[in-house]
Parts: sequence; structure tokens; C-alpha cells
Amino acid sequence: MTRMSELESKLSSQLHRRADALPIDDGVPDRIVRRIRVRQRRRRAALVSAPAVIIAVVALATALVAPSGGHPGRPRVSAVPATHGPQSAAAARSPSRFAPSPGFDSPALAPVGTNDLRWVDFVSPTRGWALAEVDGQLRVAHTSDAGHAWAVVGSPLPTSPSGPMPTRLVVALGGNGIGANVAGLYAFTGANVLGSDTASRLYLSRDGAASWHVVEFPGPVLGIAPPPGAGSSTLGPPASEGELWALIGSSTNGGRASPAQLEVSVDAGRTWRRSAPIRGGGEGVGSLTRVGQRRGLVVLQNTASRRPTSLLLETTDGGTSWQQLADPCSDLPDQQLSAPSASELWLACGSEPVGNLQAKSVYVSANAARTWRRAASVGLTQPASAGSLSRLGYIAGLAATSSHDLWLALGRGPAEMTTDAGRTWRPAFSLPAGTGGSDEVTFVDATHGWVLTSRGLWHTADGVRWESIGG
Amino acid sequence: MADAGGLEELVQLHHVRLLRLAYVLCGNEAEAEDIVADVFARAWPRLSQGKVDEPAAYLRRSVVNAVASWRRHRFVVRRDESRRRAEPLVADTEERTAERDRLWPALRALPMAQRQVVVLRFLEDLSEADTAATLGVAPGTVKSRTARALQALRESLGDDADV
Repeated sequence: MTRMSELESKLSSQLHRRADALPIDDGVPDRIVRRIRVRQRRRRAALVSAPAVIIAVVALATALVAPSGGHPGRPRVSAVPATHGPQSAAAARSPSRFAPSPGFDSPALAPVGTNDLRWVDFVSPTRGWALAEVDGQLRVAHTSDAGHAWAVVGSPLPTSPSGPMPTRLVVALGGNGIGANVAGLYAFTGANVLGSDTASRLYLSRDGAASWHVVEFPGPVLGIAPPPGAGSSTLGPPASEGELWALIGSSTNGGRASPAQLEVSVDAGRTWRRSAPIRGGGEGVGSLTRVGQRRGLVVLQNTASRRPTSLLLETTDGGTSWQQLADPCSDLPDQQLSAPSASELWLACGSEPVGNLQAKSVYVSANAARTWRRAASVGLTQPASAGSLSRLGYIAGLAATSSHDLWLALGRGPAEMTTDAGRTWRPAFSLPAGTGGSDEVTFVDATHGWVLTSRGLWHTADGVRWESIGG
Repeated sequence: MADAGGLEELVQLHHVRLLRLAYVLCGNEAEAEDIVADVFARAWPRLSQGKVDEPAAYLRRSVVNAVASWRRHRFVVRRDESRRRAEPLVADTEERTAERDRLWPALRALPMAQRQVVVLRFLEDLSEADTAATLGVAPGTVKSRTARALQALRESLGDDADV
């Protein structure tokens, strides 16, 4: 027997021993069935939600009067690998697929409850879109009342049953800012499928999800950044035409190592141009924060080493070159950025989670990441105290609306907020113990924000009081 | 929609194997149950409508993907030691058996992509082709990840790799 086969045999034996040691009590099947029943009841409740039905009927009537170019329920899918350089001309021969529909909003098809939302993105205090899981399909849902009622629009995303599922949605505005047309929907995997060093897909629609176009990239699509002002989550100047950026994580797909890279599109995602590689990233974990037409920041986690660290990099030329910036908490590799303005930045850093706890530090910069001031910090063993940052929960997202105001979405923990530049913290709202916590926080201005949790959506219209929607 | 008995039967049929798969992948008993329950809840509409040809394979793939997704909050798994230090009073299965095998921490230290392959190949006893189909990668990728994982385990275990 070879050495390798002996190892394989030992591995198999110990894996089975480990799995067999898992105690499974008799109540497990009942708990699972009850959980499914609860979901079914919530879905049925959502179906009879009167406001949502009214919105769906009105939207349907509107669509009948002025039909859009899409055909709900009949997806038009074109799967086109990402094209670069000279190849892009070939793909440009089918511009009709990308012609924006004059009436972007597709007819609303059916109401959907907030428990089925997987990601939300808002373009104004009232209008937003979401990725929703409906009857086993990934759909786009729309709201026009700040998230109180949601209705499915367009066609299901043409996802692959074996590939990673999209978990993020970015809505891009066109025209001239708030109130302008929505130019595109972009759904992608994000950084949540870790170790996914395989190809992943960007799903994009320019007709309100009536039809979808699929672009394949060699690594995970970690982030999508429309031009400043065009991104719904970007508080910035009025939208303008410009480059669409995609951060692609490093991969070893097919045995070929591919570094992290920024892909740039000047035609709303139809064709893509690869920029200079971003060296130093490890597994497919990272985030992209765009703070100008040509300037952006990337945080990459280098998890290839035994002791993971993070890298903070900046481009000022649209991804042509990258400079490494001083990272104030490189030893806390779970990092996310938020930029309320081009010069004001917040950086939240977290350690490897332990149980439901995570050591965290929050830094703020007033000079475009040149220097940082530590705004708050909490260690794993530090006892909780009133007004301090909580060690409970894992950093899932952050949204800053000024150099004083920051909201932190915490997975398996509460959503925390500070309004005094990090000196004091408090939970934005309470979630029942043992729930999955918060997945995402997003604001469209200084006061209108949403937090998506495992128990539905939360909404504030004044930046202080939060209301639960569904859940 | 299928009858209620169908759901209970489905759960009874698959939950033990899925729980063990999730547990070996994520290393946490409570999380494993959460993940499997969520997988059943999400998969049930499709399963009940007969849209899934092979429920066992579909559920297995869903668990593998769900564990990877769950890891967004636990983006690396190389710090079992730190977890044990920080949670000395937690006496779950890991604690009860960790001292008996050195392979477990070495396995937990593997990148998730390699661990997925190892668990599917050597716990689920899937072929390279079935592992590739479950993960949505080429068979060659399964082969190379398996080789890298075994090499990493050999390096971690040193002389104890082969007994």
C-alpha cells in the first residue's frame, strides 16, 4: 500500500468516526419540520398582504397600458463569457439585448414577504429592489413604499443549480441622479462563498429583470461599483455616465492561478476590460469601495498564510495601477469600508469569529485613507459595558452617512450605531437571542436606512427610530 | 404541494446524513443543525413540486453551498486553537474527541475548497465525478484539490500521517 493510500484510509476512518460522534437527538426532525411550516405560514401571510396586492395590481395595470420590452416569466438569457480587449467588438454586435427599456419597472407579479429577501438595495427613501428566494427560485422584488410591501418583478435569475448562488444585488442609476431612471440590476455572488476559487457569474438586467444577461468571470465576483452617484448605496454627486467596475477575487480555477483584479466596463456590463492584477489577495474575500470616477479602494484578505492579514489598496487611475496603503488593523482581517464622501472613510475590522464573539476595531479617516484615527475597539475577552462597541456578532456590513454617523450590521448579533464618531455605541434595535442577526445595512441619505436581518427587514426614516417590517 | 407526510418522511430520510456532513464541514453542532434546517426549508418548495430529480444529491449540494455561505461570517478556519482557548468551557463533540485524533485540526485548517473535496470524497465516499458535479467544478479540479489537501495533511501530521 502506498503512503498516500494509507493516509486516505486513515482520513476516511477518522472522518466517519468524527461524523458518527455527532449526537443527534430525536427532536431534530420535528424542529426542522416546524421551521419549514413557519416559512410556509409566512409566505401565505405575505400572499394576502393587502398593500402588496394593491401595488401589484396597479403596476400590472400600468404595464398593460404601456408595456415594456420584457416578457415576464419568459427569460431571455444570453450566457457570454467576459470579453476583453479586441474581443469586445464581437460581443458588441448584439446591442439590442442591452438597450435600456424606456419603462424600467417590470410588471409586479406576486407579493413576497421580507423573510424571503436575501439582499436589498434602495435608490431613494421609498424605492428599492431586492434579491428574493421564491419557491426555490431567485427572483428580483421591488418596493415603492420604503420596503413595507414587496412584489416580484420580471423573470427568475437563470442560475446554475451547481454553481454558487448570487447573494448580492446592486442597482445602478442612470440619467442625472435621484429620480432618474434605474439603468441596471447586477446580481452576483459576493464574498460569502468562500473558498470558491471557481468561476462565477454576474447576472445583469437593463429592463427591470424582464431579461437577464450572464457574464462569466474566472473568479468570484466580490463587488460591483457603478460610477459615483449612479450607485444606489453611494452618497455622492448626481449620477453620470461612466465606468462600471467589478472586483474579481483570486482563483485557481482549473489549476491556473488568477490574481484578484478589477474588471472595467464602459457599456454597462456588456464587455469588460481587465485591469492590472491586484497582488496579495488570498481566498476570494474582499470588498470594493469606489470614491470617485477613477479612484477606488479595495480590501483583500490574504488568507493563504497561516496567519491571515488584510491588505488595503488604492487605485486612482481606474484600476490601471494599485498602491498599498497603511492598514491600521491589518491583524484583524475581516474588514469593510464605507465612504460617506471622497475624503471621509470608515474602516471596520474584525478578528476571526469565536462563538458569537468577534474582536473589533473601527477607524475613521478624514483625509482619504492617508491617516486613520481609532474610533472604537473591543477585544474578545473584554466585558460588555454600556455605550461601548459590542464584541457580540460578526461584522456583516457597515454604512456611514457622515464622519460622525455609522451603522454596523452584525451577523449573529445586533445592529450597532454611533452618532458621535465612535465614542458611544448602542444597538439600533433588538433582535431575539439566537437569531441569525443582521446581514446588511444600507442608507440612501443621512436618515433613510434599512437593515436586512434573519427576522425580516428593519427601516428608519429619521436615523434614530427603527421599525420592523415583517419577520 | 405534496402532503405533509412527505415532508416529514423526507426529513427523516436525509437529516442524519446531512447533519453529519454539515458538522464535519463547519465543525459546530448547533450551526450544523441551523444549516440543515435552512437547507430543508429552502429546498422543500422545489422538492415538493417534483422539480428535483435526485433529492439526496440536491440536498447534499445545498448543504455544501450553505456551509460555504455560512462561512462569510467565519472567513477562515485556521484557528481552531484560538477557538478552543476562547471557549474553554464548551464541551461539544469537538472537545470530547479532539485529543483522540490529530487529523481533525489538520483537516479544519484546510481551505474550505480543499476541505469540501476531502469530505465529499472520504466521508460521503463520492467519486471524483460526483464530487465535481456536487461542487460545480471540473473533475480535474477535484483531483488537484484532493492532491493539495492530502499534501497539506501530510505536512501537518508529519510522521503521523501514515500509520
